[in-house]
Amino acid sequence: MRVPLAWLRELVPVELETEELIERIGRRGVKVEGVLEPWSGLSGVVVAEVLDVRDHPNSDRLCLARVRTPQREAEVVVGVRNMRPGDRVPWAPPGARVPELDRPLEARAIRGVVSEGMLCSPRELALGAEHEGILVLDDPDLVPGTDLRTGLGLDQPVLDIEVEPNRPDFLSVLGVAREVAAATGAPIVEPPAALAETDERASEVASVRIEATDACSRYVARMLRGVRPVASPLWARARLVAAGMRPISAVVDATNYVMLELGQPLHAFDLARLTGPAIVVRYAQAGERLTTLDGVERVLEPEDLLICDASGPVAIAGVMGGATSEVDASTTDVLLESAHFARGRILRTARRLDLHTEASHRFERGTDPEGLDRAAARCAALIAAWTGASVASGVAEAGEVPPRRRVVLRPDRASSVLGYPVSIRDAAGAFAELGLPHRIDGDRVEVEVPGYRVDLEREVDLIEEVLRVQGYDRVGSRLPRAPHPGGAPPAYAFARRLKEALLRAGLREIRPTPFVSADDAAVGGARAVPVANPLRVEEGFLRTSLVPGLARSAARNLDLGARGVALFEVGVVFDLADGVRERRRVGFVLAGAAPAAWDAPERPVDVLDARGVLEAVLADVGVEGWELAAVPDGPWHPGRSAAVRVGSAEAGVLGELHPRAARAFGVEGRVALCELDVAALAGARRTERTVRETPRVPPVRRDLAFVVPAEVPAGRVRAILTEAGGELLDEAVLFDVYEGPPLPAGRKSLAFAVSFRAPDRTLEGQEVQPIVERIVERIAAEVGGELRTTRAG
Amino acid sequence: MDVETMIATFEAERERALVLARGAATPEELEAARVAVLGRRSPFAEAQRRLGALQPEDRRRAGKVANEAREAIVAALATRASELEAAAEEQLVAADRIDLTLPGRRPPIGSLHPLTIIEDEVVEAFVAMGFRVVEGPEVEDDWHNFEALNIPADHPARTMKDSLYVDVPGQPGLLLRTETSAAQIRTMESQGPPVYIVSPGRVFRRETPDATHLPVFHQVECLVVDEGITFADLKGTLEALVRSLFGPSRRVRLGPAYFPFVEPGAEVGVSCFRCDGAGCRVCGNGWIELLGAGMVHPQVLENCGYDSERLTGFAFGMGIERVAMLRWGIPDMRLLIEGDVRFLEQFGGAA
Repeated sequence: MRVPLAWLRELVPVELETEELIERIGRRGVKVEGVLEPWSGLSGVVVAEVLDVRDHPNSDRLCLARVRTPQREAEVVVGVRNMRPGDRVPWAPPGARVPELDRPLEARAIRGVVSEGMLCSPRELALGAEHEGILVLDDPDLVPGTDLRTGLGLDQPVLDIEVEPNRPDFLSVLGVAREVAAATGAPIVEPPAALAETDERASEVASVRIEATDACSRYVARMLRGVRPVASPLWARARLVAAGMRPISAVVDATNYVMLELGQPLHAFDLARLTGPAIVVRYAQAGERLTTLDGVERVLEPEDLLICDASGPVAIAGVMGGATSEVDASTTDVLLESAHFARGRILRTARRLDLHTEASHRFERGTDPEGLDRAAARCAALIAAWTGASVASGVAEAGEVPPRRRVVLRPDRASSVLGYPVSIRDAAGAFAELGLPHRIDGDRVEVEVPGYRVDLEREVDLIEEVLRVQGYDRVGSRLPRAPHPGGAPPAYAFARRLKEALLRAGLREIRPTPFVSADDAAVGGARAVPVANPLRVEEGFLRTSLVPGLARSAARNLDLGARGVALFEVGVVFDLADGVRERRRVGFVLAGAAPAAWDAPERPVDVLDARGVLEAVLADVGVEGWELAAVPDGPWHPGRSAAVRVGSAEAGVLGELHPRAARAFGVEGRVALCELDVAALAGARRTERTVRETPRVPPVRRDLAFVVPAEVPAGRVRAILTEAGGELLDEAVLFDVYEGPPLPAGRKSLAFAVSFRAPDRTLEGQEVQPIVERIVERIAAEVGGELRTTRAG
Repeated sequence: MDVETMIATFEAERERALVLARGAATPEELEAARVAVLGRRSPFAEAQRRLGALQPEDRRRAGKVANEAREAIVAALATRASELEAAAEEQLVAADRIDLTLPGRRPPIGSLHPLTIIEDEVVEAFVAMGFRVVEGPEVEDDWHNFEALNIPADHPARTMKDSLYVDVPGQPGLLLRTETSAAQIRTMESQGPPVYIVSPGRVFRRETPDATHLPVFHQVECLVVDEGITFADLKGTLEALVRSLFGPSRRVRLGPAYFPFVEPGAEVGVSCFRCDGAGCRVCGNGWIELLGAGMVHPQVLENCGYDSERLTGFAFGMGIERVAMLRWGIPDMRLLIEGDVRFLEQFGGAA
């Protein structure tokens, strides 16, 4: 809500400086987000008198106007000629600034005649949309030589106030003024609404009936005759513009002016275009249609509240008027609506039609059901003053002002919520300061809630009012004592532990957004959850896998010049399985160059780098007993990927992206990834440590190199070796893999450093020999391998 | 050769050996010296061979001298040998140089995301105060995200514009939670009082990303419900949190604010850690708005089946991004989701 300060001071004559005022109401919860100066781009424009207007010697369209201020005379080239000798007009001499232009005016020749600045239209002064003529100033105070900015009050600051949904009363100058009055003790000066009424009785001009009594508590209509199609006074237009609205015509401007001033939205119907004339407030019938004054035909539903005349809908109540009954230049008689509508109704209709207006904004938050008559009278008085219309006596009306809520405050309860003693006098004093009628009843205070305070519904709301008045600084400070020790659930702690392990493995954590395209959502192989109203259609799904986010982050970093990247994420993925299923995953990606010393040759990462990270991380978090299984479906390289099984469960995947998939994510080259289910890992982690005695005897070492068919996995050979080695085998570490001459094609050599050790004695070399022979036999029998070399270590 | 000559030879050879040993400049010269004084053809060996021909008395006397001389010679040679060895090693070591300004071969260092660092600090501070960590789902239903939090369907605080909904057949109204406050409801539904919880998590709004907004961000929710909890407990808890995050001299200021699920509601400011409340470029007026808080609305307690007359509580929700941005002067929120290593590496190691 934009509140012109001069307007505010008119309703609450407070002496405070602006800064101090903002500070005082800020402490009461009125948030001034900024102080605007809508006409900061206007300077040096003065009122000038037109002396004469003559044709431009070199143009049919242009004319030359001589203008005069007490200081000087000048000649200005003008594109229109609505001004006459004797008129006072806004003159922007050379050096002046107008909001529409980004540079000061200069004297410059137009078609051979030097124009000393320009005469201004309303639009050029940011006083409305009108651009067809020069603004002719009719206010007698604006004598030639007057600075227009100060003369029209355009130099006054405007408070930009953030209005929370619970305080719709702040959507009016009066509402803010009440809070200023409460905070400063200044009185409220109600805007004048005195009317000279004619003998004609409004209730005899038109009838009003409310059928939807649950949605409209009261409807008041004023009748005006003899309105003229004139513009509203410049000062009023300036206030509308300052408050962010567009001046249109005197009648419409008056309704908007009063809405801004008092918070009551009003609507002016052209009386002649209302059948009856009658007003009926009812719900729409399904399929009923109305063209609103923005020219859009709206299809209505039974939940929509309508204003109808005797023949059909003329407005969507509280949202927008209909085109057929709109006030225009031909209008002479007006029916002025001032009504109260239930907020939920208006909100649902405005939301469904996506039609949000200044009126609906106020109605859906709640207006003052007690303020209808005052607003109608104030608006009628303004229209009468601005257009010369006459006002019929009284109102046509239906419904009743609802009774006020009575809410009780117990000071004891206030004390126990706020944590400091609140006496009955404190509470009553706060309500008095806020202008809330109340009475003390024994040990409690009963507040009679005025219609404009829609937020005060129960005791705790009153407790907040007491706190607001007494000030939040009144509250003390104390640390509550939890009756139990703190802690995190195992799932949270384990996820945190995983991050720690990945950190130690040298990876960096990322947190990309979970919104992905349909293609990326397909990566996880599950049914993806679509977002109903995504920000970008190309990110219309929730991720089913961490892989796309990791791969794209890697791509982005490589594009930005990183030589190698190692990233991880621990986060939730989503899929559709009997509702939305959320699972926590851990994933990491390696791409680009593998980490290496400066004196070692650089090489690209591959899946074994990822396997190394996986081994380190699983060892770190205590997950033992995992194995690889067949290549999973998805974007994986068929020869360099495997499913990972932990315990007996499928836990995820380790592998390189298929080159095509890598390119799709934006990477040329190998991308090694791993993604695992956190719950599966948590289930497989060891819960206890078993600690063995460390042997005190030296091992017997043998380096054993086997030549096996090339397709035999090293892991298989190692498994046979380990099993055949029996109890005395201490460790078998693969240290070399070789293919090529002199080995025959299709064969490879795997060399293991094997150590044997007895727990209680030093082994002799000859004790090891039968074990080695057993190993060699088993490997020959099971994978067709032979011992190539053996060497005592 | 008489015994006196023999003794004189042993002693002379001892003297000569000491001189030769000291004079040997290389292991080879030392070996030549050893051969010269102790070799088979050396005068010493010659004389020793003749010891057997002496009378027993003379032989004992001369033999003693011979043994002493030999021991002295061997010791001198050994001393010199180790001197030469040490010198040779010194020479090798002196030649064995490396440019220590070359980069080290170091294992890679990882980093936690700045949001994780802040989340950890907040959670640790709360756990130390006896709070339990709870987590809730990111896809929530209407009841937990809105209705139970005192935001009914026709509430203006609730528009399609702000929330991101998901399309799940047969389950209308599911959305990505807009606040971690939903965890309040799930906790109170699943347990009775007292409640002392902290709930970190990801939340979602339909916001176009810019320097200060993201459609995805993180909050930490705090909820206490117990008998006798007052606004002062809220303030005390906030002070403890703020001091653990921003330093021990920070002050907390509460002012009126509106959130449907608390009453009274409060907006919480912290005295600026740059200027300590004097006013500067970071804060403007000395105070930094940090989070929203308040006393749990009795309607929320009632929605969870709690006795709103016997129990009171407080709640607040803090944006983790905001804390991270303030703490480290991060100029643009989007840096937090982009995963740029040049940004992330600044959060490796301790600080």
